[in-house]
Amino acid sequence: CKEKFLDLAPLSSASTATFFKTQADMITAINGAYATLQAGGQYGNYYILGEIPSDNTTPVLSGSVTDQDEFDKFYIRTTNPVLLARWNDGYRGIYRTNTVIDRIGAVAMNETLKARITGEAKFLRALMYFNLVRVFGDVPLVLKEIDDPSEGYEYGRTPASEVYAQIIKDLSEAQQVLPDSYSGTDVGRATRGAAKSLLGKVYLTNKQYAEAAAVLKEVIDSGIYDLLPTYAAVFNPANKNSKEAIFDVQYKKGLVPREGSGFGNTFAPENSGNAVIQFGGGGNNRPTPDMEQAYEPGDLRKNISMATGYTNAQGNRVDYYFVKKYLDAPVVNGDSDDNWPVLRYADVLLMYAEALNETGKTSEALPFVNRIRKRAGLNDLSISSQANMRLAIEQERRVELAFEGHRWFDLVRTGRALPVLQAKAAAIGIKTNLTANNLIWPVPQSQIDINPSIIKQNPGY
Amino acid sequence: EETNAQELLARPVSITIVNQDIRTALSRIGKSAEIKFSYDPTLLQNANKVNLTVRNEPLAQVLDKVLNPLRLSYDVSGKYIILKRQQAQSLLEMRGRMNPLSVPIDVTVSGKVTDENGSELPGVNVLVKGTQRGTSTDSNGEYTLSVPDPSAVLVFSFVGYETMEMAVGNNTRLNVSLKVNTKALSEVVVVGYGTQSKKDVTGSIASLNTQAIKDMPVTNIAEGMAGRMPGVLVQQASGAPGSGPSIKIRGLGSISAGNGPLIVVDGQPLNSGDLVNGSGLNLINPNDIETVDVLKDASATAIFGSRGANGVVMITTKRGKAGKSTINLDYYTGIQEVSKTMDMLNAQQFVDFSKSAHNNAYLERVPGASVSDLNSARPAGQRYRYPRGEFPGLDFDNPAGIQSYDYQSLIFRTAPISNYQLSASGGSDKVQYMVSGNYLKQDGIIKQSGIDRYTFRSNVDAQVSPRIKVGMSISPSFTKERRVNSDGHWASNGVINAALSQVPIVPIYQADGVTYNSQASIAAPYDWAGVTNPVANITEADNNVNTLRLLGNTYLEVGIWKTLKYRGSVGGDITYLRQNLYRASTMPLNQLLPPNVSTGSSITSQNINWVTNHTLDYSFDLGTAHRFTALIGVEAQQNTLENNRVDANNFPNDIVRTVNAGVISGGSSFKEQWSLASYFGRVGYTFNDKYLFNASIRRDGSSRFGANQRYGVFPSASVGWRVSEEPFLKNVAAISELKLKASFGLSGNNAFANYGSIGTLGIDNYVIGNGLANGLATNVIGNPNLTWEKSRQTDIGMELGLFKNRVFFLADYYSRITSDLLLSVQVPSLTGFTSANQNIGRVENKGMEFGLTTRNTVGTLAWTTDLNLSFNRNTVLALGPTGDAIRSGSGVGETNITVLGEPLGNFYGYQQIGVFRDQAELDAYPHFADSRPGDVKFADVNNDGVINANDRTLIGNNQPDFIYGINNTVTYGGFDLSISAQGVQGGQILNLSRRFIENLEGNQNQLATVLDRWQSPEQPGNGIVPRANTRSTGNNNAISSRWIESASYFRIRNITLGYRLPSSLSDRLKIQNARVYAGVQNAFTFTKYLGYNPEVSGYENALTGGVDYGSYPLARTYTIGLNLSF
Repeated sequence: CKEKFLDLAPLSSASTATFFKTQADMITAINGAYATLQAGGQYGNYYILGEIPSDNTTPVLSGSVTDQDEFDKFYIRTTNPVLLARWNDGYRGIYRTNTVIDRIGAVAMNETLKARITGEAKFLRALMYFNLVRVFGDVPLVLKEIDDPSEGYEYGRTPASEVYAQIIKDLSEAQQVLPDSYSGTDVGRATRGAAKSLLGKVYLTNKQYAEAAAVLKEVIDSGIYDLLPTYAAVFNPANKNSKEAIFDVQYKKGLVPREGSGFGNTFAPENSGNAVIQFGGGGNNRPTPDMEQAYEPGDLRKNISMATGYTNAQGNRVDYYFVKKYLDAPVVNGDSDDNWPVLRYADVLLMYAEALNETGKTSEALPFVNRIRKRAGLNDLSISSQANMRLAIEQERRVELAFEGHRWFDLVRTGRALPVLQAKAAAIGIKTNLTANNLIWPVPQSQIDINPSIIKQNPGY
Repeated sequence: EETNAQELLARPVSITIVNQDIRTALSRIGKSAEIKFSYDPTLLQNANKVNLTVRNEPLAQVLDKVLNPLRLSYDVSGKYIILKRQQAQSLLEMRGRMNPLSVPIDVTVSGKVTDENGSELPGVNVLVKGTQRGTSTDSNGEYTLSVPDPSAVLVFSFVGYETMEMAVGNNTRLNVSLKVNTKALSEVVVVGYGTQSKKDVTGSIASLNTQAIKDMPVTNIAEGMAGRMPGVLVQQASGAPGSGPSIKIRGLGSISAGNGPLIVVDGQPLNSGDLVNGSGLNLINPNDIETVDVLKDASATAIFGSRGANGVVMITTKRGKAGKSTINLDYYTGIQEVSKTMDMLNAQQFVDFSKSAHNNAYLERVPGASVSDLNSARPAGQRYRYPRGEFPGLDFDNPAGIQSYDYQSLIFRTAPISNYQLSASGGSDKVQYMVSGNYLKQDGIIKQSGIDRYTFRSNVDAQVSPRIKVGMSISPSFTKERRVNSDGHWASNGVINAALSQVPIVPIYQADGVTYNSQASIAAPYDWAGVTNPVANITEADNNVNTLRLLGNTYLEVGIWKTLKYRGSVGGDITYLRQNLYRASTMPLNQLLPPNVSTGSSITSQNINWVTNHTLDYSFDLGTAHRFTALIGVEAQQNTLENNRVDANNFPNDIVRTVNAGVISGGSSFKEQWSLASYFGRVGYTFNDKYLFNASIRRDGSSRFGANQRYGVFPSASVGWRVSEEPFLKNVAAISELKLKASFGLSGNNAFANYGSIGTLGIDNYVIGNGLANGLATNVIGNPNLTWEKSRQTDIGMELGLFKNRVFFLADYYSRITSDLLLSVQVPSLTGFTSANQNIGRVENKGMEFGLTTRNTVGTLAWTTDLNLSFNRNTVLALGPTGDAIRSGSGVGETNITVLGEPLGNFYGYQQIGVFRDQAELDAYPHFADSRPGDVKFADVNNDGVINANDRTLIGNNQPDFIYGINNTVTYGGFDLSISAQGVQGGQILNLSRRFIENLEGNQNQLATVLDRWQSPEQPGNGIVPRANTRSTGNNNAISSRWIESASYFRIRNITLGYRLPSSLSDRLKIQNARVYAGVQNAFTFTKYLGYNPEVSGYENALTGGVDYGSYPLARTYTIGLNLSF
């Protein structure tokens, strides 16, 4: 009868048929792609995959829930929800970047802005694929917006080398169109420096050391970035997006709806009441005694990064190792100002040192390491052997970038994971016999179950 | 339903009478035409034997053939044919009687005729037996009649009631109470857009007269339906005051669209789409309901088209009848107590258990560790330390002095319930009315919870002119609900979970006796959970919900031509809800002792549902063998839901608790709509009252589906054969009714997301420039081909009445195949989505239903038994293009799986086959890498020598093998006793609460079953409960058959004993009827289930049915009540 009576469009949400038409729509859409960085599977719980498998931290004691413990002790279930979240949230972000890249061409808008947004989308897509390929190895490479879910069954796992090639392509294209910096209300978006820094890290991971050194040098030579005078200043939310910050996942407390971070509450000790941070803690990502001992005497970074106990409301000391890099007081539970650093200048300096050392320029690498040590209140090193320099860079990265989610991927990249894990296994009594298979994680069982003919499991799972 | 005289006389009669006496002949004619004769026997004194053969002749003709030779004529009154002498003859007789010698002096007798409940019956025929002297009662049920002498006998007859004879004797006043004629076939049932005589029904319809449940303290009619209707499963998962039970008819026909029936109140379809449609019946006062008819098969439901697939519950409210007004007062009051508490550890048991859990972890993980090591010697933060005097009075090494707390006793209470109902009904020939007011006050058995409910109803019908009738039903209701957070996790301040989980050694208050305490006060040094305070979770939170509902409709009926009738109605169902939430600063939170940040919310929700339908109804009945009815109609319905919410926190104090006092911290709002436009029609045809045929069709258009699939057509057809009308059974006295019937039809289900076919964008904001950056992204992928779920149902049934229906048996077999199941299907998440709305798969429900009603004894001691028994088998026939299993979770990863060839929603996990008794047993069988003696032994299901996720298997299903009900009513003199019982057999529950209260981790309280745990190879326990261990190993607490329990139960739902005051007493009190009663609701439940209530349906989704996380327990209620009518 009356078609109008039955033709009801959603009243409280926009529909895909009418969106992606204007410049404003495309800005909103790229913001939606950035937003997935905050998801648990991307940077919200990045520490679970970045720190816990390493010797830096141990998981929360959670009894029957073994989601995190499995990464500490290497008995990872294929059904582990942390891995599923990484996969799902990663591809959700990639879908949004693909949507922007596919649709922006037809939108009448400022061409400079169009190029920039495309660059942002490519940077994000590269970052998200990098975080997938490092965790799962070969992963499906989806480069267009899928509008019919049945198409999803056609994607098998693309060899990691092809995925890396695409990441490099995206970052190379992005760095050409992204601006050096932003001002005002655009601060926090991906910059040319971010694309180059990430490209350096990708090259490093691919053992393309010369290319890594070249692109990282461009970042250093750009003169845009510098170390802040003190280590503490880096983690003070008042200095967000400082000269040292190259790319952060952005958070802000007190907004409605909420956009704050929960790292402080996540990492503060369990049952600590309000003694460490308002609204208490979750006891996640606890530094190991080994981590505590990794700091050289006099290292100013230790007490900024971690604590071994706290004084409770009754005035008694409670023994408890916890991360304290992110302790901005929240207004409501889990709503703090701390950003999550993805790429910062100290990382770039140490990556550059690593690239130089690997290309045989050990002596050229040394000043960059010492520059980091100097801020930490430590003496200069004098190293001449490439092998010793590797270990020195590894150690410096461990303490400088502690609890920022780098350690595990550093160990895997440098081939140091298995030796380091043997020591950890002996210390905490891991029964699993660790092999190279343990350096990448299983593909989520649900993704195999849903398309078993084409999505196959990694060896050893 | 008054049968009009014309219709009666047109009834076709087929009969052969050979040389029978006139009484027998009349009796047989009466049976054939379903009428009764009333006559003075002297009229028939000189009659000859009757010979008669007629085929399909109208009753009027047949009567003429028989009566004319006797010079008799007749009048019609209701279903009674009252014989009289033809006029001429009569005058002659009269003259003869004028002889004064032969005529005694007349006596005048008067009196009142009432029904069993004491309501006046107007229009009752009163005849002096053996004469044609008679009268009928007036609108007050009063009659006055002259009788020839005291030996006269009065005959009282009225349609629908049993005829009664009374001798006049010396009385001048003779009051009579007529009994309802329980002959089932005279009843009507309510069907879609009309009613149908029960004998013409070819579909499968179960009916409940609320008379049967009038004494039960049920606040929702659905509770009263439990166990009384074959094929209807009612589950009352929560005992929270004001919570509605779920109703499922003939199994689960849908995966993720609604499985609840459509609810239709007085012809007005309510909002559909609630998963638990029992809640659609909230705020409808059960006392106002006259009957409930449940349409089960497709021939009955297809006229409701896209909403009929899960059955239809037709509610008919009470309406006024012409006659003197009656005022009824019904009152009950009672107390409720928790029907079951769980058996938890006391302090001493807990201490012993907890110590061993901590020591086991310590000894196992720290080389050289010893049980005697002091806390200071044990590493911190590893769950190795336990209380040893660090807190005053808590030394686990000296448990005797530790005080024990029973938190269940602190949250439950004995709670009062009272219900007041005052109603008046009556009317004249032109206008009838029923008005009622009801007040229910129920406190919940969890402290602080409760409702106050006010419901009002006014039903008015008016015959404006001979052709025009109008009417209106309007029912405003208002509820004030005080909710408690009964069902949540302790970490989110759930009351029950906290009461069961908190270790039984923590005082409710801190040392000052005022400030609330919690397990957080002692948790930190031992790495325990910071379980919240069960009492504070009640007292320090406000959750007040006020709901106003206005349900009403107006109709107009116009007689157009002969039996062609128009009926139009407009109805509305408007619900307005206000909820205020406040959490005081004094409440301990997860890990946090007070004071804490206070929070508050204010929520408003408004739902407006309107519907209008217009029908033309025609019946064709020429008094021949053919009867024909037809109906066509149109309907339109629209629903608009709006919701707003404002949140605030940081209230300066706990005095002002509305959001204005705090700092506004957030808010949300949404608005959504659906609409439905339909055309429908139905025809019915009856031949010789023997062969029945019905068919219906409906075309629905729904806003919920894609432009490509907006319309659906739902046809049905059914046939019936009243075998008992065939000549070969007609003379079998034992068989009063035998009907065979079969039906087939298609109905639909559209209870799905309002905009499920449209791709929509969701808000996902980010921070740019240190400020909010608005972000949007597609969060639902569109599917323009999304369409209805279609349910094809076949039903074959029989009805058998024996011995004048003193035994009535019915049986149905059905098969219902639902295809195009609506599901948010898992898709490869590399698409950017984890699920997409699709139509996939087919599921079958087939089953048998049996009902048996027996009137075991009649007379002074009357005993009736109702039995029903229903089987349903649910099988998944197809799932998507590939048949891949659907895996579903309920909060802790995958708990359920739906696979081909099995019922929906199987529990999925490891199969426990024991507990590893010792190292030798551990070494001999595959196990998880960290399993130790005392850990759970899981089956290596795939026999690959390894235990891993591939060994998970089907470990149970919530769907029962069969359900049954047994209801007995006994009356003896003024006493009446009813006992109703109901049960569910087969099926399992996944008791996930035990992941908290039987996890053996030593830092939360546990079920007493842990006393039977493995302690050593020499003390292996019961072989099911593993060892205590604060650092659980061996995946002991994985989803496994260890948590699976039987869902079978048998419940005595209600026992009521009533006593009716003798009329001598009630007359003196000027009361028409007075009755007192006492009853017990939920008297006993026989079950092995460890949780509170085996009627689990907390996770209403068909894919995860039967998962129990603990919910508000049921109350056992003791009531006393009073019924008065004036």
